[in-house]
Amino acid sequence: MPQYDHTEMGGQNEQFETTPWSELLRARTLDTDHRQAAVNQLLGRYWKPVYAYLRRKGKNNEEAKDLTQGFFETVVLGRDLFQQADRQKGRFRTLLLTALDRYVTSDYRARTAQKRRPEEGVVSLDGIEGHRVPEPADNATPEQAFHYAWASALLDGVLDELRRSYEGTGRAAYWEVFRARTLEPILDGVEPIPLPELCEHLGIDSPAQASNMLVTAKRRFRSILRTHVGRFVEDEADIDREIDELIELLSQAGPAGGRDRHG
Amino acid sequence: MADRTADRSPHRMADLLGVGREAAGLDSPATALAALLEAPASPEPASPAAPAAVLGRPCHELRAHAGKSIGELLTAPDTDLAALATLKDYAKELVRRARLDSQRSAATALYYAAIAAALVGHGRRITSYDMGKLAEGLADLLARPWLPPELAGMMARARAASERG
Repeated sequence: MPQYDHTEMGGQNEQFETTPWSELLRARTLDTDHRQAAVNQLLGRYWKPVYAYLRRKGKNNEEAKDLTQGFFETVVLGRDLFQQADRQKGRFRTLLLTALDRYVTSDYRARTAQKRRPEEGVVSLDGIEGHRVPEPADNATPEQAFHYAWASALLDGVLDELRRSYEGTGRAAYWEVFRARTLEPILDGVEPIPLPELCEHLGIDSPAQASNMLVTAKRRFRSILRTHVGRFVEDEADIDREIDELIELLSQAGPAGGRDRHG
Repeated sequence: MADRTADRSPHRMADLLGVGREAAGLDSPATALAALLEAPASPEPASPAAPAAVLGRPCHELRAHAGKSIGELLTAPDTDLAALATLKDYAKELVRRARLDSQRSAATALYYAAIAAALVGHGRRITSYDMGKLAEGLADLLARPWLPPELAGMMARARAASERG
């Protein structure tokens, strides 16, 4: 997988694979206006884990938003992160967390963050307002909060793409089978809807067909998950390691973690 | 983008990630168990998966066996009961943490292997399971085609011992 996508902007049919690395590169090579847009795009993608980390560090909402802005402006866009990315291109999640920790623990930066920016902030926070930020257990560390929010954002993106991929191609029943048999039982702790009932509800010919649809949807889920994770790692082999590490990190949070409304 | 996963417990999200991982068909109990058996029985938390890291304490009981793999400890006749009990506790915690069926199966095999090693090598039962339940568990595992021969042989002897009571 290419780490730095050197595709030039502007070609009508040109594919531009969006990875954090390509976004960073793009943000650093464009003129001021376009650069601002690129930074906003980065912020839109990665603000949740940063914000969650800062809240867990004890910052109130306004402080956390302010520091999130400051972090993306001065660190993500700044020379430091880009140079680190060049050396450590395999681990964007770790890189971001390490840089964030350094940013917050730097008293000077933290204290002067507000003073450096205009009142409205250079980086837009429009995308932040109105979104729910995943909150882990009350005893979670800032790092756990970061990983938790990262995984949540990752899975939301994957599920969103999975749903759109089916609904946009007239195969919404695949999504519905996946939702009823896998997604909601896992996320909400509800019993899977029995296949015969699901078939009747969705107009599927037989439970066997529904079962096959579920296998197909799971395979697609996996494929999309790997694509999304692949944006943050260096090569194919690292994708499984990254998923395993996220599973491990989430598992370590303990069964009491999370504000689970469904027990 | 919908906030579908916000506020769900970390374990639920791990389970969902596990669906993506498991559907790969890349994991099997055989490979998961092989990885467990090949891992060094380090007394220190040398890696996140090491016994000391998983159990959250230094494993002094393993210090005398430093340099050996977990598989070697299970099959060596001179492995002491304390080390086997630690491996059993380690496996139990791995079962609790497992997000994939393959990992759960492998950890369960490790759990019974430690118990079987204690029963065969020392004539001691290091579990609260009674002999009947132990025999049932061992029989269930012995039916699995992915169980390596060295563990299967030991478990078969342990099963026979547990059936004798």
